[in-house]
Amino acid sequence: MRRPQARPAAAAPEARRVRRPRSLSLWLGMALSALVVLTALVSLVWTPFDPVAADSSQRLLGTTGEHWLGTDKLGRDVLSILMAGSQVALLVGFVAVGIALLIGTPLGIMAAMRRGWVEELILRFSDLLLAFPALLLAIVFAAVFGAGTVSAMIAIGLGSVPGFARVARAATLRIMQQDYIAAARITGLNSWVIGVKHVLPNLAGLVLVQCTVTFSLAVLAEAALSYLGLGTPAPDPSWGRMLHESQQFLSLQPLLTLWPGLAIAITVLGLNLLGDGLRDRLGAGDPRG
Amino acid sequence: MPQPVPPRARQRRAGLSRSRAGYRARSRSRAGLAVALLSAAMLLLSACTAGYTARDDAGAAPAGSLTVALTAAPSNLDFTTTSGAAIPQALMGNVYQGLVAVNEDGKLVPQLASGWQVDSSRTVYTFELQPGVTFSNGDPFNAESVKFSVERVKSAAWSNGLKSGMDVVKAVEVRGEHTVAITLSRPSQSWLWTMATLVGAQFTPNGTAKLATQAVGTGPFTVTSWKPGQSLTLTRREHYWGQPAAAPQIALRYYADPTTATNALRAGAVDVVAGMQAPDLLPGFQKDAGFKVTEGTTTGEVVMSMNNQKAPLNDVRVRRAVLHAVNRKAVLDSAWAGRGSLIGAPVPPTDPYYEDLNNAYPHDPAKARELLKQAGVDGSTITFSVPDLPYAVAAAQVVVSDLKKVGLNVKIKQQEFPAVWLDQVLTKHDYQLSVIAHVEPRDLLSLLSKGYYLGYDSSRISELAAQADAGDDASYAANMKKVVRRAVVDDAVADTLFLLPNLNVMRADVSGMPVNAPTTALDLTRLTKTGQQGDAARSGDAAASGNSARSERAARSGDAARFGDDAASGNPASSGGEGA
Amino acid sequence: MRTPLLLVARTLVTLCAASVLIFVLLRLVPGDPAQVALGVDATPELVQATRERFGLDRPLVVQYLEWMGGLLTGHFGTSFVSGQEMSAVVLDRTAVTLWLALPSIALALLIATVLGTWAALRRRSVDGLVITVGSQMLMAVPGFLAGVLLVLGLSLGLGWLPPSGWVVPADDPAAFLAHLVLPVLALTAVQAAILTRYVREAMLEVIGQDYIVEARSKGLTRGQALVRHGLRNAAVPVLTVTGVQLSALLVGAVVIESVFDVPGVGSLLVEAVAGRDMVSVQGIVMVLVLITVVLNLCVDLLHTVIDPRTRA
Repeated sequence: MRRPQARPAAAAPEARRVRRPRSLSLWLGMALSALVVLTALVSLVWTPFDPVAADSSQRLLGTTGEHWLGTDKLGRDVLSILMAGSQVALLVGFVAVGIALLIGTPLGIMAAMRRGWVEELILRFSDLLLAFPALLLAIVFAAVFGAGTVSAMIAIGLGSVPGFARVARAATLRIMQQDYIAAARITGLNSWVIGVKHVLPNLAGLVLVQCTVTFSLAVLAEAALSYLGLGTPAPDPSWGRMLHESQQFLSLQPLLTLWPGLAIAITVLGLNLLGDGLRDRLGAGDPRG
Repeated sequence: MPQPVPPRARQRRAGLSRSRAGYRARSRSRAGLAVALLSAAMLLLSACTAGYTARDDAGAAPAGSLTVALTAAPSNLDFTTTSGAAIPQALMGNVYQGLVAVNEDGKLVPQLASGWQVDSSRTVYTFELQPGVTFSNGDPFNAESVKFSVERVKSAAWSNGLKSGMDVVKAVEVRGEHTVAITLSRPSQSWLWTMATLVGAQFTPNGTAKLATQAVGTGPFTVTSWKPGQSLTLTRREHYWGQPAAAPQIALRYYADPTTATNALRAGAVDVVAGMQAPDLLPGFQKDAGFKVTEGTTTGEVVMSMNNQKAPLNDVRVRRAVLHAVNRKAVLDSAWAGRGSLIGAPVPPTDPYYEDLNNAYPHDPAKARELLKQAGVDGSTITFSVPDLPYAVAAAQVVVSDLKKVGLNVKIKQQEFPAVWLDQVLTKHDYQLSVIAHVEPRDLLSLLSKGYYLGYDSSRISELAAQADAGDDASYAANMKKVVRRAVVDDAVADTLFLLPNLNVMRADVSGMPVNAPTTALDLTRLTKTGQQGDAARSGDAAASGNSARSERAARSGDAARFGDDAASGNPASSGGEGA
Repeated sequence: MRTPLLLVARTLVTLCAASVLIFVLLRLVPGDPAQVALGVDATPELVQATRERFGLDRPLVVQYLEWMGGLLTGHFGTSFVSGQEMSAVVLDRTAVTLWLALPSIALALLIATVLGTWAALRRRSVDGLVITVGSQMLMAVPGFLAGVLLVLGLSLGLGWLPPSGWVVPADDPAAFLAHLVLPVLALTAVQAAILTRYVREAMLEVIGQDYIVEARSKGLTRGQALVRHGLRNAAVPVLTVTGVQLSALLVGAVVIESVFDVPGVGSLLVEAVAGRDMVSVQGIVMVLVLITVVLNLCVDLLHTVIDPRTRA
């Protein structure tokens, strides 16, 4: 749905002169993200109820002592589904980020280090991917390979490749101008070695920031796709689908819509804050720092 | 790909005194501005008509027009080559007519035929046709059109699978301008029923060139506008042969999402939500005097199919175990908020061979476990191919919970409907468990037929079925009951979860909406708005306030308000149509 | 290196590559397009006839060239499913989506410029913090949730606005606007939050620059200096983001279209995908890609215009 950082990550004001300590962002972001990850881990082994066990006698209960967040139209415990839903959100995030990271970063570094036709080729490839917004790619993939979590993850991942390539390339270009790189070149170091030993470590901060940004976009995109019925299929719990299913009960049980919305918001907020905090803390805005 | 401007460059640029560079930039941007303005002007032209391909009619709707919200949109207007219930729902009875029709009580009644006689061999049907009937293109309807229409079904021009219902016809003979005799190769109880469905629709030879986009029929309406996926507008015919339709114009609007449809009803943008998909919202409408709710029957049996050809469900003990394990009441409660009825067999109560078989397989998990143990399959994993229709997904999840309790581990595999489900389950029979609503009337025998996806061994009933089809009314019902008992009780061919209800919600001043849906056709000929002329009898406070709210909103949004969304299925009525 | 001409040439290359990619990708759809279009009950003869009628039996290269030729002359092809020529429908539905996206992004940019500048100026005070935190939170809300809540509150609750639907602008401008408000509001809220953050950061960057200091030494207040000199310099990164957001919004609006039942191009795409109407999918994707690429080009050109250095 939104991809603000696809292009602007580097264009965003990195070399901010006025640097305000943002450790609050970092800590809050880490806390929220940790909460989500912890929930997902716990839900692997324990949820209050079986998140897929339907019980028609328990339909659409509001908050009760037994069901803290109530039950859905099949009588399933909302808290349990919510907890289990974090697995899909995180899975999609991790895989999409992984794909974008593993394809985009090497491409960006390569483009910056080899220049010439390699760079041109990579840039054109990146342009091509940029022509397909992630959500469009996901819908096309749903048509071609069938709708599901896997096509969604791959589509979101591929859609995020140009962002990583751009960040990596811009930063590598700057790193390559540094004295120690020139020195390393003079000593006859192989460019692979330079790339791995000198460029990558200096990139890590920026790329990590890009990871958190992409992660939060992936969570939102998965929710949007599931809302449209092109994402995670039933019965795997998914926040986006929960939102869609609960929509018709808005007038009866408004909270049913609120919970998955809140879960998505907390996850995305946590990741965004984490990204902001990391950018300041790691000095990612300035790879020389 | 714009290269990101490095921060240092930006700092330097920012410090530039804006002299030449700035000037050049401005002159360029002026040229750019001109181009932009020009293209903006062009865009503006199309912007003013934005959405015209999605609105339901060209001009303002005449007074007394209604809008009906439906779920599954037709992909084209040609049911001769396209399966599914969406096209006949909109067109049969309204635009196309048959010689006979099924009325709301599920009885056969004359339509284009004023009457018919069956000879003693019960193979020759002689129809007397209504005089003075014309098609909407002006062509007369006569015995020749009947001959053309029936023979066309048997030709390659028809590719809808339901055409097999016409296989039994041997010859069509024109006996006069308005008399036609149709000879069957053997007596058949079901054939005349087939003639009441889309297979019996009457066409004129001059009206079949563009069936996908132009419907030419004898009915009281014509299609005056069709926006794929969005809406279909039916306009009353001036020169209709029978009693004209009550409303001058009826727009059918397609809402994939039931919430959007009911919101539109509340806001006054639609007058009726037909075949409502969100039964949980009904109590809210029932409490509101501005609306009324009708609950009728359909022929949509929600059947959980168990692939009779595939292990472990090829073992009748396993199928019986499933029937004992599933709590159908709970399924109905979850999938349709308890509305609809439990029938125990794929035979709706309106059929002459209906029997209450709900007690054949009572909910009994202990017995199910025992049967599974006998069959030696407790603890095995079964895949449940579920079409992504809301009722199917909801029902499946309840079934899975029930089966888990008796030791069957069922994994849901959600499939896109129609594209993937039709291919995998219906065509390739590549499934173990599945669930779908079968909406064709009297479709029991086609469910049990050879090569159908249920995988039933049709030799078990073929003799009984043939006897039934060839017999008179009494022996038909008696023999069909035997078929049902053999297939459903003895052989546990499938689990009929429930019968879909026909739920309509409408504004209180709407009348003439059929309560029951005995066929896939939605008969709109009597639909009208009584509140239009300020019906004094109905001026209760609530109704009046409902009316004023409506007119106020209508003034604001105009009758030109356009609604509609994607053609995604979701309507159980769209999920059948395979039943032949 | 980056003359406008080169940029345009590159855009054309991207477009060609994208069209090949779309064409090939949609040929990977499992099953024969004619069979998929006709459904399971179709006879083999009918399938063959349909294949011939739609030219599916010819070599792929010929089919591709014909598709391209059609696109260039404004004919996207005839849908196998509905039997309609799709060009008018696709373009018209795109116009509907533009009605949602353009006002939303313009409004969002306006709000973001005001709030972002304010937040940058008052970054150490409470109101600045409120804006920053607020935009952070709003960014995290999925657009469709915002939409659903708007319907519940403003439409079903207060009855101010229609909950869903679309009116052709020329038919009834007032009703058209009434139907436009909620979806545009839902889109704007989220976009404004995103852009506010960017404006704020861009402004923070220019705040410390020499020319601002210089302007202040001439007697302008910091606010005046910032508005007169800072905004222009902050424009480049902000407009870049806006371009990206707009192209994402064209497809991203599909969710809002679904909530508000607006017949936009995104919902047309989802319909076409569900009906496996590959001719339509192909045409729609191509139009969306075209718009995205042109937007990217505009952003690039903007850079060369505003920042002459990149034209070197």
